[in-house]
Amino acid sequence: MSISDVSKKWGIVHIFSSYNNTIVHITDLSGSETIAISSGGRHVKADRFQATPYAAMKAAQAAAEIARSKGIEHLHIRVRAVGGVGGRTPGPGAQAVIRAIARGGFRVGKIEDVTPIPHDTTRKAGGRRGRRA
Amino acid sequence: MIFDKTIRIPIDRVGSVVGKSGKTKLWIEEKCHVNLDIDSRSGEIHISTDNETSNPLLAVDLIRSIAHGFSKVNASNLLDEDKFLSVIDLTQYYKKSSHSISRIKSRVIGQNGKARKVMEEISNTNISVYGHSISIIGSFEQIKLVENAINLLISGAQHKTAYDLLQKSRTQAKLDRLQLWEDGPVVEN
Repeated sequence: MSISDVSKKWGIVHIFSSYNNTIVHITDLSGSETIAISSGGRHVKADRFQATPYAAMKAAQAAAEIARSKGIEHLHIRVRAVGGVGGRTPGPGAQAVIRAIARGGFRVGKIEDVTPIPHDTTRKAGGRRGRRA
Repeated sequence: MIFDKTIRIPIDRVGSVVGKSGKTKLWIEEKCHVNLDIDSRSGEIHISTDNETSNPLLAVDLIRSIAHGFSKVNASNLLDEDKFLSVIDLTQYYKKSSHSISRIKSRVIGQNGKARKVMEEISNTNISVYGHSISIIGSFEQIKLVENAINLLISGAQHKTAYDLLQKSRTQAKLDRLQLWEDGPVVEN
């Protein structure tokens, strides 16, 4: 099968946005075949810039470039924050990625929040006396 | 783009999200091209859209910021593309009902809101103290700085130490800009 047969122009962008990094992962509709992947850490030199919206934008552009060259034109978006015991809200990178993708000429289908929400979770870090700053 | 999400906000902030005769709700709907379905009994807000030009994540952020105590005017700063909302949850430091939470909150606010005002002015951000949380609206770097300053206050530092941290990094940022443009014009913050 050639690439254009597999993708049928649609793809899914999985955005994992935490306070330490942003990962942009473009797959086919099944989610099991990677088309392009990039992360904030690939585009900046210092660790503390990994989660910045600028790094996220760069990562999105890099991944979008590869996806476009493979014939993807329409994208669904799945945003994920850390989840579990961690934060439930996506970091600042998520919005930057969505903006970069929309401006990169892709048609956006569905935006979904796929943050894992536990029904019953492990104990949060910090201990009984709480986190000490 | 299609988007569907339900968020829950404190019931005493529902009025602020709706606004006078629905003004704020309408404003959010127009700015982000979304539909808001607000249940004022339970405090649940359903955000949905199928508009191509919509910006649903911005709508979520606007509602969250108003729910965390910001006014509509301060929340409107989020319309700026490089401004974000950050929430510090105080329950990770102390128990929910503990006296320490109100102590921390009053330290961040200061006498007649002085501490909060000074921090807002030095760092060019908006700070809100509400419930068990402290929320900040500002650019990415500014938020990081204010978070550090508030962490100092939580761990018991004097107010002056926190102010000094903010002031120092502000001066440093100014110097960096100078170096970047050498003897070009400096844009005042």
